[in-house]
Amino acid sequence: MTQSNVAPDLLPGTLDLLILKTLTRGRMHGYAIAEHLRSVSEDVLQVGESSLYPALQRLLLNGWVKAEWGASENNRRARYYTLTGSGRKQLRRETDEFDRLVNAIHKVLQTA
Amino acid sequence: MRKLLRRLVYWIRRRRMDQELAEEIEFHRAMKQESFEQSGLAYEHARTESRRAMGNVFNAREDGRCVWISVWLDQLERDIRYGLRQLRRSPGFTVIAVVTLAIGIGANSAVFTLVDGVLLEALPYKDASQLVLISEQLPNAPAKFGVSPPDFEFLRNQAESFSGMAAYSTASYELSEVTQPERLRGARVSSELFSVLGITPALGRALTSQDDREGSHVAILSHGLWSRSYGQDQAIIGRDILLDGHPYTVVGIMPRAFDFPPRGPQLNGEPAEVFIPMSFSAFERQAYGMLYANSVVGRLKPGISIEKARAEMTTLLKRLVAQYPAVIAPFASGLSIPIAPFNEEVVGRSRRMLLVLMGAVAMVLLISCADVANLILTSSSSRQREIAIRSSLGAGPRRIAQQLVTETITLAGAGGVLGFLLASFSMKALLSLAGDSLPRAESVAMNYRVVVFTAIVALATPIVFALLPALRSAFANDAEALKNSTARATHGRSRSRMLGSFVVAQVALALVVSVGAGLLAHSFIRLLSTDPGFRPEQVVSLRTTLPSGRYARAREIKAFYRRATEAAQRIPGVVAVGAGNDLPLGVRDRRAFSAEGNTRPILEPSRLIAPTWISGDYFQVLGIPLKRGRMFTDADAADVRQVVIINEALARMLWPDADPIGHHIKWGIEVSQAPWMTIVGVVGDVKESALQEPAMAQVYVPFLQQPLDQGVLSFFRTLNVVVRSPQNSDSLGAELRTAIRQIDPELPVHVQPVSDMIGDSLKPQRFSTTVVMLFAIVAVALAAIGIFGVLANAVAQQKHEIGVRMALGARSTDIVWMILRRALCFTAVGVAIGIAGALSLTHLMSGLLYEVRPTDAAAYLGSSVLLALIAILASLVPAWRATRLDPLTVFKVE
Repeated sequence: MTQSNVAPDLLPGTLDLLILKTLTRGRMHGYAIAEHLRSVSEDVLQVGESSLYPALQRLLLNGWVKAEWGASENNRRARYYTLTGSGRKQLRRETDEFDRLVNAIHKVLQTA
Repeated sequence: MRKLLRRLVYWIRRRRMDQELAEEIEFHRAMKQESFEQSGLAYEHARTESRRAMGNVFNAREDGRCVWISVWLDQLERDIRYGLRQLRRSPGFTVIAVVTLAIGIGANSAVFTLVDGVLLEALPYKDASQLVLISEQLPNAPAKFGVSPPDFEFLRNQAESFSGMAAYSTASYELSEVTQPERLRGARVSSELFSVLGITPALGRALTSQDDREGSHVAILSHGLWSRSYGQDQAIIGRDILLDGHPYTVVGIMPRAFDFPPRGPQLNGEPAEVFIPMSFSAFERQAYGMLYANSVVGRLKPGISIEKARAEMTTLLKRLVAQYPAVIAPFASGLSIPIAPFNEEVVGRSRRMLLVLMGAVAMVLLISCADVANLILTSSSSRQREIAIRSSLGAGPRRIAQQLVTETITLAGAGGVLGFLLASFSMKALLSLAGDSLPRAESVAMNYRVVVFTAIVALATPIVFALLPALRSAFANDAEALKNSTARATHGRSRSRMLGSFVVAQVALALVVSVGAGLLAHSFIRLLSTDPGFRPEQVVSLRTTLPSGRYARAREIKAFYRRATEAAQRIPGVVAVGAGNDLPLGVRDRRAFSAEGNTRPILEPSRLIAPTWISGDYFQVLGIPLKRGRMFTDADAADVRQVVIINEALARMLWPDADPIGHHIKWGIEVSQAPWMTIVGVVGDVKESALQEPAMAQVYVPFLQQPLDQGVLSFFRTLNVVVRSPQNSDSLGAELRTAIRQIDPELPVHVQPVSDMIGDSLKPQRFSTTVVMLFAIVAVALAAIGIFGVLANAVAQQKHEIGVRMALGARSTDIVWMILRRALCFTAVGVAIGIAGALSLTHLMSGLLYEVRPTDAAAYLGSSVLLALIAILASLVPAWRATRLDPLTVFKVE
């Protein structure tokens, strides 16, 4: 239900990983995260807000990111997210897991 | 764990959190709008475009919320809110339902609080479940005895089922050389006691086997005594205190929570404040067949069951009896050594009483649940439409049932909270009503177990009973309900059948409770009208204990008896004055005796007698009639030949066909050194221990003739002066007090009308009777509410029918009869079921009844008539209302 609006070709759970990875660049608000994902993936990953914000809430709940309010570049009130220590650990774990998964899929595709 | 904490923080601040999420999403949109504007769109256009790009914002918020709180919980919250709104909307329904539930639940938590404190709370000793009380018993003897010193020493040395065994007996001591001299309840204890109980002193040391020898003078103080008399001075350890004028070295102070022996009906059941070593004398060690006054507490070895210990006792008993001197061996042959869990002995008969109370309140709760179920059912007819609308809007039966159940639980929760409050407010009254009659009352408290119990009762029971109507509503035929705006007749039949069965159940339960109450009340009346064997009216007693310092010798004690009697006689209006070491209903002493030959042979176990030492006109004051022979005279005191007066029970037992005057009896066994005493008179039987116990064999000994040797002196220090006068008992009491003060101004005295003593002796019965009657009243009232509600509903449902009947010429008496007949029908069926139920349940109460059988007709008949009357009363208003129906309006409304 929470995943219903994720870009269709995104594997489940990948969005969390992408957000965590994006946040390694530093403190960011939700819009910037979405923009970053869009521009880096050259418009392939169009993350809808309806999946981005629940995902952020999930990360908050797990304690992988923390949020604080601050002024944005154009002086609006915006919520900024920062990666926490356990978030970094989680990112490493998930990256490894993702690599393993992709490798596995790759192998299957090559042998078949 | 930390995740849970975060969830909790979110839950507490959920409104704020939700707002923040909304703000954040709005920021996102604003940024989007800005970027649209930058790419050349007009402001308005950019705004709409950004909104479109955002998609369903509410979904995102909802999803965000769902990360923290599961859907189920969210729905629950909404249901509770909806339920509360629903309950607010019909305050009458809500108030009646909540109060009814609160009464049922409150009664249960109050009684459970008692049960918890008295029955469930372990005695305040280490692993108290392994502690047992060891007694001795003769067949047919009314009560268990304690254990005699030689028997205790034998058992302690031989029994292998126990990791430890200790003897104790309570006694009274005079504490002097302190700011406030006083008489203390103390206990002689064998040195193992503290290790058997598993409690070490808070200060100093426990007793050792070194202390437990003759002539040892050490003492351990209770925390209370240490605080009261010594200001918690730690330096008291090692110092001497004076007990009965003898120095005892204080070696230890017990912890504050230490309370021993526990208060209760068992032997030596009064908490002691000073503990001194048992230190059996050489005489006591050889006292075979005597001195069965020591309580013995044992700790079972781990893994040894009480049955195993009992079996061991049976085998040990043979060896023990073999040790008895040959002359008393026949007496000893009937001995047994019963063992019972310590807690059970302390609680005694209160267990049965509390279980009966628990049963009564359980039924009260069932009745109140049925009331609420009735309410829900009757109100569900008006809810039918609302539910039908909801289900036609897509709410499934499960969702609707869930919502109704939530509503019910909300109701139950409110009832539970209110009930708990009711219970905690009534606890104080309940405990003071119980008074001393409830053992272990000090451990009764509204603790977490009571809270948990209340919560379980509040949430579990109503669900069961509210579930039926709830489910019925949920699966009702909604289309039918929608069509029927008046909800008149469609489900009338099945619902009224259900309502009817509830009412029948209520009547049946109320009948069982009121039969129980009726039995107790009847037996209480029987108790009150029991002839105690003496006339307590116009008699005042004064009780005092002479301190051993000023009254060290027999001469001084006897002189006090004389002077006190003379002083009381000088009070104007006094008819007679007497004194006794005990008064009727309070004779605790039991002695073995022997009678001179050529009597009817009596069974060994019957060789027990309740003795009283008296002086002055004891019999005249108390109105105990002389049946044969003579009273004591002053001449007896001077005579060396000892004389006694016996009661009719003893005369009947020993000399059923002959005149007992001139025969002889003596204390102990026939070969004992005690002198023969001549019977000079026979008086009427007196209830010597309790009104409900039959009078046993009694003997009265003239106190002034008693050669008091030092050993038995302390036994005679407590005396009761009794005075008969037609004067008002208050002023008589005051004058008596003054008279005694003139003899010894420092003597603490306790003055009480003797008739009050009868009242006091009935406290346990008064408590259980009052409480069960109270519950019966509640039960009947709740049942009446049920009957009233159902009939009122029936009248409302049958408006149409009643209108038609009236239009066809039915008179109002016909209408009243129609309603009344239904009420009586319910009641008759309910009473029939109730009588069957009561017959199968009340035999559990037989131990609590006096001269009343569990099938007592008066209680059954009275309760049935009462319920019938209540049913008629409850149906009067609905019936009256039915006769006031105007047929025209009824049809117009249709």
